[in-house]
Amino acid sequence: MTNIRSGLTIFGASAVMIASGTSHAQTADVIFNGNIADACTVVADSPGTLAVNGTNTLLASTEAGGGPGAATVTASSSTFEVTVDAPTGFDTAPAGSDTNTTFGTTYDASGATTASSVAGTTATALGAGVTTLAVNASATKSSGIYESGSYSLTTTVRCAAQK
Amino acid sequence: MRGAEIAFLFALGLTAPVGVAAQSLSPMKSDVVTFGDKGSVRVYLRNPYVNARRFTMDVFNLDWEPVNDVLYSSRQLSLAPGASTSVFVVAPLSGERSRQFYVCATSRAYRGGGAGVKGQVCGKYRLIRYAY
Repeated sequence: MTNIRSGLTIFGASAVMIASGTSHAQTADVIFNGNIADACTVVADSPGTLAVNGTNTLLASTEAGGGPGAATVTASSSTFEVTVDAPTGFDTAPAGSDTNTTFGTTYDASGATTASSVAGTTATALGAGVTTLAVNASATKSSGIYESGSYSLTTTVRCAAQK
Repeated sequence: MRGAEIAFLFALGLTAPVGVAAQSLSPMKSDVVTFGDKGSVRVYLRNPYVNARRFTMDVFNLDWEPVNDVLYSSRQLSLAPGASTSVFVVAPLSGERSRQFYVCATSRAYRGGGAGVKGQVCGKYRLIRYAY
């Protein structure tokens, strides 16, 4: 009887040892590292359309028949700002069109950044993510008129690190 | 003359930290220490458009005036869709102890309808002369 008891005791102890052995299986951590560089992307999506006012003194994308250009700005952080530079002259136009002309731009922002009718020279802080810009451009003649012909100008959407 | 050459080579060697070429321009901000009167920045430019594009590199001061006497490894370059490349820019300190400037990559304008739009991305960098 004593032998049977001691035999059961040994069997039980062995079972506990086996069970405890399986519960101590080793684990290993697999570490992943990554880095996202601080960066900004500007994509000009579509050009705008210029239209003339009734007195031929204003060429603008906001006039009837005109339309804004579009650009997409993607910022990896909120450390960037956007501006829209006006041109210093027409790319193509009838002779003398630059004379007495003032160029200007405005922009609207939606998406990661929200802004409305901002003067192009005014910087807007960009939110991290994708911002869609609607860009308007104008050319105003203080003296004289814009003659018939083909006109084109270029605006520059700039994403820059904040000062 | 020999000393000036060595100083210039040191300046070339001390470039800005390398960024990941995953966006249009990277890194967007960096400090560069130089022993000479010039310092160099290496930026990574990527074409995010779905077609090939031509880009122009420029350097401006903080008032957005062009900086003269700048050397570029490539001033104008064409990139295939999604392609990237690095550009070295060597800018002068012009006798100052430190100088900040923008390095800009500008894509060719998207035209049509009279009002073209072009994209420009500008990183801001600072050259610092090493103090002995």
